Amino acid sequence: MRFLEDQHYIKLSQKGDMQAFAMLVQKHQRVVYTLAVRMLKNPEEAQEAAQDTFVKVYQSLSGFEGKSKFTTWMYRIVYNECLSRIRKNKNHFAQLEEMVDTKEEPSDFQDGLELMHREERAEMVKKGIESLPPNEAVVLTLFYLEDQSVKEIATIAGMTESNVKVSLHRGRKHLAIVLQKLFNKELIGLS
Amino acid sequence: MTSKEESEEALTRKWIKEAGTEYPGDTFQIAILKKLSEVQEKKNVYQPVISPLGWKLILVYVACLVGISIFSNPNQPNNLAFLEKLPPLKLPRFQLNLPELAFGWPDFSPQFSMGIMVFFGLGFVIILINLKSKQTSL
Repeated sequence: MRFLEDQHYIKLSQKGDMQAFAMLVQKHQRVVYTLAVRMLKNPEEAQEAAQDTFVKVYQSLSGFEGKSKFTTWMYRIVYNECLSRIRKNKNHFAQLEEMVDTKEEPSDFQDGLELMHREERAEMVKKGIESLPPNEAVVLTLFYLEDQSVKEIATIAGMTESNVKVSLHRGRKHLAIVLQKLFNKELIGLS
Repeated sequence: MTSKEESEEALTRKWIKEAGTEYPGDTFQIAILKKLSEVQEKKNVYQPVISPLGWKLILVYVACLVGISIFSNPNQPNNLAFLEKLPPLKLPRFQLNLPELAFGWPDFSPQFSMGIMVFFGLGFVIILINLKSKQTSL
């Protein structure tokens, strides 16, 4: 389905056109939900968070002046929504972060991963990103999938640009470690 | 950035793009519209912060306090209070054998009365401010 510019739907939604808002949801639902899943690691809770994000977007749309990009503004809302949910379930995420062993260094496994089928590799990368700490998972997704700049990510996550760069570096390293583990498991037929 | 790092970054980008986005399901949009209509319904139901009965009680309470503070205190230390100046009423005596009960009349000092009035005055201001902010948030 082809969509028009965000601004078109925003103007109509601001006038109370629910159909235009539904189009705006349809246009961005996948990215918003993906960010929520990668932060919260739970599809049901991510659904709730993504829905609440769109409700907040609709309620605050009258105050959106267009000074920043709509997507940056919307990603900031989903980021804050997920962050508040994470803070409520802090213990769960403390356990999750232990999964990434930072002492281990990834060896050359990229070639092997490249030889895999595209679908299998994509599944493995999804699993890998979901194993990362929420902050790194969301920074990697925004930077590599959504092509957001470091400055934009800093605005979304409320971090400094240098912190975003550190998160990107750590995220890449951790993803490589997790992918290597998953790849080795795949090789010996564990998964 | 070294060439190794560059190729690693290019691979990461490629893999993350390949992994793509997740689909939230067919009922996702309907669920949002349902939530929005629920929020709208909640907004439309006006609920006053203080009920009409509450307002009446507050008014009666404040009127009593003001009345007491005005009529039970003399304007000068040596003068009589307004209530004390009133001629005694000659009411017919009832011959009822009730236990003798004596109710003390509160004797507030002017400072105390003023304090009470200021306290309730400020209380009203705070209630009004809260009401206004509540209305604007709706």
